[in-house]
Amino acid sequence: MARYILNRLALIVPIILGVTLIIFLILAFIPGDPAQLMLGEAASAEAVAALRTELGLDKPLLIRYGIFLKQLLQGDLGTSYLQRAPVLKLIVDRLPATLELTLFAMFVGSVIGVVAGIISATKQHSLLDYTAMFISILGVSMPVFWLGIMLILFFSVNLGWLPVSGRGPGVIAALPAILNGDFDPLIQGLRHILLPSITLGTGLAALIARMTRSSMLEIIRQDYVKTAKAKGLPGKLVIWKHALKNALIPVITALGLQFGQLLGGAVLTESIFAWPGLGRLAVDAINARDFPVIQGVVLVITLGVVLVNLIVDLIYTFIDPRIRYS
Amino acid sequence: MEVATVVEQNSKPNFMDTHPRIKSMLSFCRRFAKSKSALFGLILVLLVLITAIFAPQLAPGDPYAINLMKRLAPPSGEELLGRDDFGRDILSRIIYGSRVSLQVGIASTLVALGIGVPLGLVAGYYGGRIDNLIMRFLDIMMAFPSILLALTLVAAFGASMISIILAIGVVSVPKYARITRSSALTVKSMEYIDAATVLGSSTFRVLFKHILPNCVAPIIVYATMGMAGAILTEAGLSFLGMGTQPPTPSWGGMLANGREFLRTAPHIATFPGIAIMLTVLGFNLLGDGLRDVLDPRLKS
Repeated sequence: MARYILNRLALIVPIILGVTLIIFLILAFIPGDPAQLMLGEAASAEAVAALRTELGLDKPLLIRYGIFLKQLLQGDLGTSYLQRAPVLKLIVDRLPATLELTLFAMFVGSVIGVVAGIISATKQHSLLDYTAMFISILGVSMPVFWLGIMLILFFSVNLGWLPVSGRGPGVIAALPAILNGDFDPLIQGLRHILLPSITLGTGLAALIARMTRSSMLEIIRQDYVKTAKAKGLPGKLVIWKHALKNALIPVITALGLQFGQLLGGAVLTESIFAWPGLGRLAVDAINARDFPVIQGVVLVITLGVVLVNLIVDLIYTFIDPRIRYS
Repeated sequence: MEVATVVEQNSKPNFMDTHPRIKSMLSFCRRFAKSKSALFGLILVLLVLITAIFAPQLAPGDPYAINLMKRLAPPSGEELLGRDDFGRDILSRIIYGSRVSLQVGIASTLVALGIGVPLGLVAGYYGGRIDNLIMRFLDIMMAFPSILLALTLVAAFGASMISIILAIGVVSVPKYARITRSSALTVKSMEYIDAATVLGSSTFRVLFKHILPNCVAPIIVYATMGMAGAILTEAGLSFLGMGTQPPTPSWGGMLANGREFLRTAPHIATFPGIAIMLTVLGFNLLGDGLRDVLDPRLKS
């Protein structure tokens, strides 16, 4: 097991190298000189040239990549052209917001998805089943940003129940206040995160519902489920305990694979709700030609996706002892 | 399935049923037609297709005509979907916008197929080191968050239609390559492939004439659903201002524009979103239906 984990961790290195190299090559094609952009149109040619030297932009691409790798090994992701701050700090500042949003969306998506999927499977071919499945295909067909806008329109603009945008104090940051008996920040945080996490989680819920349904339909036809029912266990117990455990295996795979998609969706969701996360940081950086920030965000997100996939593979062994890695 | 065979046996043999290719086509159509949702999907896709082709005939007005007197006009009997902040007719813009969505959807899927399918065939057929090399490269591509990769590509090569198509196409290559590879793996060990090789067929011929036709079913299914994904990605890029540039009407761009007028004119953001949803729904339902008919094994 330990050997397997080490092997998998070792495989991350070439992936990260590849990802950074590709992003470096693409950035080389981006028109517009970051030094010129930073100084404005009116800047003198000498000033631009001096800044280019300072930023290391005058060096050949491969050398720049080498410098980037060397700094990376030292835990340095470079300095933002635009904000003149270390990229690592910018990312660390924004990471909690994105993690919070993604985790909430995953929670919303998997709870709604699994429950809807089970109900659909146990009531196969009923009106309820058809309705749930139709809603779920609508859910995967809906553009994330449109859903977000419609939710804002309905709940924030028309009803005025929830804030239009922003993160508020943040749910995680609000937790310490609870110890002092102050629930206000937590409520504020939850009010802010509700619409964004529904927006981001809907597509996932739809996908999970479809997967849970088909996986459940397969499982409830298996002998062990029939045995459990035949020996007189209550139907609900059989479904929610015996069958669900095995039905969830493919669902967890999907959940892991969707994590990357979810981070991608976060880019759009964050820009609708003015959520101060990594996605917005990336979009702003792309617009401003802030190369170090683009590289940094892509690197961190890729690392996250790869690690989550590894964790998912490890979780298998716990839920399904038949799977062993050696 | 049962019903279909019974019907076939009972009906009197005529020309249509005797020709093997027509027969298999007919049985395909019968099975397809049995799924109401697949038919619904097909109708939606055809409707969008017709809208895109006949946009000039169907649009009630000029999608570019500015009329500041009617700025932000809400939907009415005269202008079914109202007007935007420049007083342009939203229905006309949505009708013309279907062209952008479909063009990007179809062209980028073709790009992805054109690169992904040969890669998958080669990886699956040769196996070993070549397979490993291709698959590790695809792993790297897959690890990228696709919207970020597409955004960066568009930023690098400019927000033109061509670079949007290439960006979305390139981002989807790994999925097609993987699907083709896994089908190629099963097909390549079949005896008729050995026979073709022994008879002296070139590798190229074996790959494209003998292996590819037997991998087509899952590729078609995936391409149909991939079209849905490509349309969503284009809309997302345009929404972020990195896709189709104004004043060209694109659904994502119209939506982004409508965001600023949510309080005063919510119709501007509402209708383009519905257009995207119905189009994507059409491709998804069609893909689902095709999967059930073409490749029951894929049913997940």
